[in-house]
Amino acid sequence: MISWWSVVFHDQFEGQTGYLKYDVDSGMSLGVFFEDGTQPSGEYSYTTIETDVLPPEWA
Amino acid sequence: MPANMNPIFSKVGDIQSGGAILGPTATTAQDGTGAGVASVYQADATNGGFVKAIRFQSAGSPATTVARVFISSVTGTFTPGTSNAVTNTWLVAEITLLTTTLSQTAAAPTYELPLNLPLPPGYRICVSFGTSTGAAGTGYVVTVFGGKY
Repeated sequence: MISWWSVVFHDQFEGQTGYLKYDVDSGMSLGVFFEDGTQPSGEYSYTTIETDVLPPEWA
Repeated sequence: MPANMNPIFSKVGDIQSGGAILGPTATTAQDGTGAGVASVYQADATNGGFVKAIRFQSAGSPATTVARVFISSVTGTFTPGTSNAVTNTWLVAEITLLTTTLSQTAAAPTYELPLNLPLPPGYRICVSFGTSTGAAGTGYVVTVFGGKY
Protein backbone atom coordinates (compact mmCIF):
# COMPACT_ATOMS: atom_id res chain seq x y z
CA MET A 1 0.00 0.00 0.00
CA ILE A 2 1.24 3.46 -0.90
CA SER A 3 1.00 6.33 1.55
CA TRP A 4 1.73 9.99 0.85
CA TRP A 5 3.34 12.26 3.41
CA SER A 6 3.59 16.05 3.28
CA VAL A 7 7.07 17.47 3.75
CA VAL A 8 8.83 20.82 4.01
CA PHE A 9 12.26 21.28 2.48
CA HIS A 10 15.33 22.92 4.00
CA ASP A 11 18.69 24.21 2.83
CA GLN A 12 18.65 25.40 -0.82
CA PHE A 13 14.93 24.59 -1.08
CA GLU A 14 14.11 26.16 2.25
CA GLY A 15 10.40 26.62 2.87
CA GLN A 16 9.13 24.77 -0.20
CA THR A 17 6.66 22.02 0.48
CA GLY A 18 6.06 18.73 -1.24
CA TYR A 19 5.35 15.08 -0.81
CA LEU A 20 7.07 11.86 0.13
CA LYS A 21 5.83 8.63 -1.43
CA TYR A 22 6.02 5.82 1.10
CA ASP A 23 5.53 2.07 0.70
CA VAL A 24 3.81 1.01 3.90
CA ASP A 25 4.41 -2.69 3.28
CA SER A 26 8.16 -2.45 2.86
CA GLY A 27 8.69 0.59 5.02
CA MET A 28 10.69 2.20 2.23
CA SER A 29 10.61 5.75 0.96
CA LEU A 30 9.89 5.79 -2.78
CA GLY A 31 10.85 9.36 -3.48
CA VAL A 32 10.43 12.97 -2.53
CA PHE A 33 8.62 15.46 -4.75
CA PHE A 34 7.82 19.14 -4.94
CA GLU A 35 4.20 20.26 -5.17
CA ASP A 36 4.33 20.14 -8.99
CA GLY A 37 5.53 16.57 -9.08
CA THR A 38 9.15 17.30 -9.97
CA GLN A 39 11.90 15.90 -7.81
CA PRO A 40 14.68 17.90 -6.17
CA SER A 41 18.11 17.54 -7.69
CA GLY A 42 21.36 17.37 -5.81
CA GLU A 43 21.46 17.11 -2.06
CA TYR A 44 18.55 18.27 0.06
CA SER A 45 16.97 18.06 3.48
CA TYR A 46 13.34 17.82 4.42
CA THR A 47 11.09 17.19 7.40
CA THR A 48 7.84 15.27 7.43
CA ILE A 49 4.92 17.51 8.36
CA GLU A 50 2.14 14.95 8.28
CA THR A 51 1.77 11.31 7.31
CA ASP A 52 -1.12 9.75 5.38
CA VAL A 53 -2.25 12.83 3.49
CA LEU A 54 -4.31 12.87 0.30
CA PRO A 55 -2.19 12.00 -2.71
CA PRO A 56 -1.28 14.86 -5.06
CA GLU A 57 -3.33 15.27 -8.25
CA TRP A 58 -0.44 14.21 -10.46
CA ALA A 59 0.04 10.94 -8.56
CA MET B 1 61.34 10.85 20.90
CA PRO B 2 57.55 10.40 20.96
CA ALA B 3 55.67 12.92 23.04
CA ASN B 4 53.79 10.21 24.91
CA MET B 5 55.07 6.68 25.60
CA ASN B 6 52.11 5.77 27.78
CA PRO B 7 48.65 4.57 26.86
CA ILE B 8 45.89 7.05 27.56
CA PHE B 9 42.75 6.12 29.49
CA SER B 10 39.49 7.93 30.16
CA LYS B 11 39.27 9.57 33.56
CA VAL B 12 35.49 9.39 33.71
CA GLY B 13 32.67 7.91 31.67
CA ASP B 14 30.82 10.19 29.31
CA ILE B 15 27.39 9.36 27.90
CA GLN B 16 25.60 11.90 25.77
CA SER B 17 22.54 12.05 23.58
CA GLY B 18 21.23 14.35 20.88
CA GLY B 19 17.97 14.92 22.71
CA ALA B 20 14.84 12.91 23.28
CA ILE B 21 14.19 11.74 19.70
CA LEU B 22 16.07 12.43 16.47
CA GLY B 23 13.97 12.54 13.30
CA PRO B 24 11.95 12.82 11.20
CA THR B 25 14.15 15.32 9.32
CA ALA B 26 16.16 13.71 6.53
CA THR B 27 19.31 14.86 4.78
CA THR B 28 20.58 13.19 1.64
CA ALA B 29 24.05 14.74 1.65
CA GLN B 30 27.02 12.63 2.65
CA ASP B 31 29.42 15.55 2.73
CA GLY B 32 28.52 16.75 6.21
CA THR B 33 26.23 19.57 5.09
CA GLY B 34 22.50 19.85 5.62
CA ALA B 35 19.89 20.99 8.09
CA GLY B 36 19.24 17.46 9.28
CA VAL B 37 22.70 16.88 10.75
CA ALA B 38 22.36 16.81 14.52
CA SER B 39 25.12 16.95 17.11
CA VAL B 40 24.80 14.07 19.56
CA TYR B 41 28.12 14.20 21.39
CA GLN B 42 30.86 16.67 22.16
CA ALA B 43 34.22 15.67 23.54
CA ASP B 44 35.62 17.23 26.67
CA ALA B 45 36.55 20.82 25.83
CA THR B 46 39.94 20.62 27.55
CA ASN B 47 41.27 17.11 27.09
CA GLY B 48 39.15 15.50 24.40
CA GLY B 49 37.75 12.03 24.82
CA PHE B 50 37.22 8.54 23.50
CA VAL B 51 33.95 7.39 21.96
CA LYS B 52 33.33 3.67 22.12
CA ALA B 53 30.03 3.25 20.34
CA ILE B 54 26.84 4.92 19.20
CA ARG B 55 23.45 3.35 19.80
CA PHE B 56 20.14 3.88 17.97
CA GLN B 57 16.96 2.91 19.79
CA SER B 58 13.73 3.37 17.90
CA ALA B 59 10.93 5.58 19.20
CA GLY B 60 7.52 4.95 17.70
CA SER B 61 7.40 3.10 14.39
CA PRO B 62 10.13 4.59 12.20
CA ALA B 63 10.48 3.87 8.49
CA THR B 64 13.52 2.25 6.97
CA THR B 65 16.41 4.68 6.67
CA VAL B 66 20.15 4.94 6.85
CA ALA B 67 21.84 6.67 9.76
CA ARG B 68 25.01 8.53 8.90
CA VAL B 69 27.60 9.27 11.54
CA PHE B 70 29.95 12.22 11.18
CA ILE B 71 32.90 13.66 13.07
CA SER B 72 32.75 17.42 13.26
CA SER B 73 35.47 19.85 14.30
CA VAL B 74 32.89 22.50 15.23
CA THR B 75 33.88 23.18 18.83
CA GLY B 76 31.61 26.18 19.39
CA THR B 77 27.87 26.45 19.09
CA PHE B 78 26.47 23.96 16.59
CA THR B 79 23.58 25.12 14.42
CA PRO B 80 22.44 22.39 11.99
CA GLY B 81 22.65 23.51 8.40
CA THR B 82 24.84 26.47 9.29
CA SER B 83 27.76 25.24 11.37
CA ASN B 84 28.36 21.97 9.53
CA ALA B 85 30.25 22.27 6.26
CA VAL B 86 32.28 20.10 3.92
CA THR B 87 35.45 21.42 5.50
CA ASN B 88 34.58 20.60 9.11
CA THR B 89 32.22 17.61 9.17
CA TRP B 90 33.21 14.22 7.80
CA LEU B 91 31.28 11.00 7.27
CA VAL B 92 32.83 8.09 9.18
CA ALA B 93 30.14 5.40 9.27
CA GLU B 94 26.67 4.42 8.13
CA ILE B 95 24.17 1.91 9.44
CA THR B 96 20.86 0.70 8.00
CA LEU B 97 17.90 1.08 10.34
CA LEU B 98 15.00 -1.13 9.32
CA THR B 99 11.30 -0.45 9.71
CA THR B 100 10.13 -0.97 13.24
CA THR B 101 6.59 -1.38 14.50
CA LEU B 102 5.99 -0.20 18.02
CA SER B 103 4.87 -2.96 20.33
CA GLN B 104 4.16 -3.25 24.02
CA THR B 105 4.94 -6.95 24.00
CA ALA B 106 7.86 -7.34 21.59
CA ALA B 107 11.14 -5.48 21.95
CA ALA B 108 12.26 -3.13 19.21
CA PRO B 109 15.77 -3.75 17.91
CA THR B 110 18.71 -1.80 19.25
CA TYR B 111 21.31 -0.83 16.67
CA GLU B 112 24.85 -0.25 17.89
CA LEU B 113 27.71 0.95 15.77
CA PRO B 114 31.24 0.59 17.19
CA LEU B 115 33.30 3.75 16.83
CA ASN B 116 36.40 3.38 19.04
CA LEU B 117 37.65 6.80 18.07
CA PRO B 118 39.74 9.31 20.00
CA LEU B 119 38.33 12.81 19.66
CA PRO B 120 40.30 16.05 20.03
CA PRO B 121 38.97 18.60 22.54
CA GLY B 122 35.54 19.91 21.60
CA TYR B 123 35.10 17.73 18.53
CA ARG B 124 31.62 16.34 17.92
CA ILE B 125 29.82 13.23 16.75
CA CYS B 126 26.89 14.12 14.52
CA VAL B 127 24.10 12.06 12.98
CA SER B 128 21.72 12.39 10.06
CA PHE B 129 19.10 10.17 8.43
CA GLY B 130 18.94 9.55 4.68
CA THR B 131 15.15 9.50 4.51
CA SER B 132 12.37 10.64 6.80
CA THR B 133 11.82 8.42 9.81
CA GLY B 134 8.08 9.14 9.79
CA ALA B 135 5.75 11.44 11.63
CA ALA B 136 6.89 14.06 14.11
CA GLY B 137 8.06 12.35 17.27
CA THR B 138 8.99 9.21 15.39
CA GLY B 139 12.66 8.41 15.05
CA TYR B 140 15.52 7.29 17.21
CA VAL B 141 17.01 8.01 20.57
CA VAL B 142 20.69 8.27 19.75
CA THR B 143 23.16 7.77 22.57
CA VAL B 144 26.94 7.89 22.45
CA PHE B 145 29.03 5.98 24.98
CA GLY B 146 32.54 7.21 25.68
CA GLY B 147 34.84 8.75 28.20
CA LYS B 148 36.60 12.01 28.96
CA TYR B 149 40.41 12.06 28.93
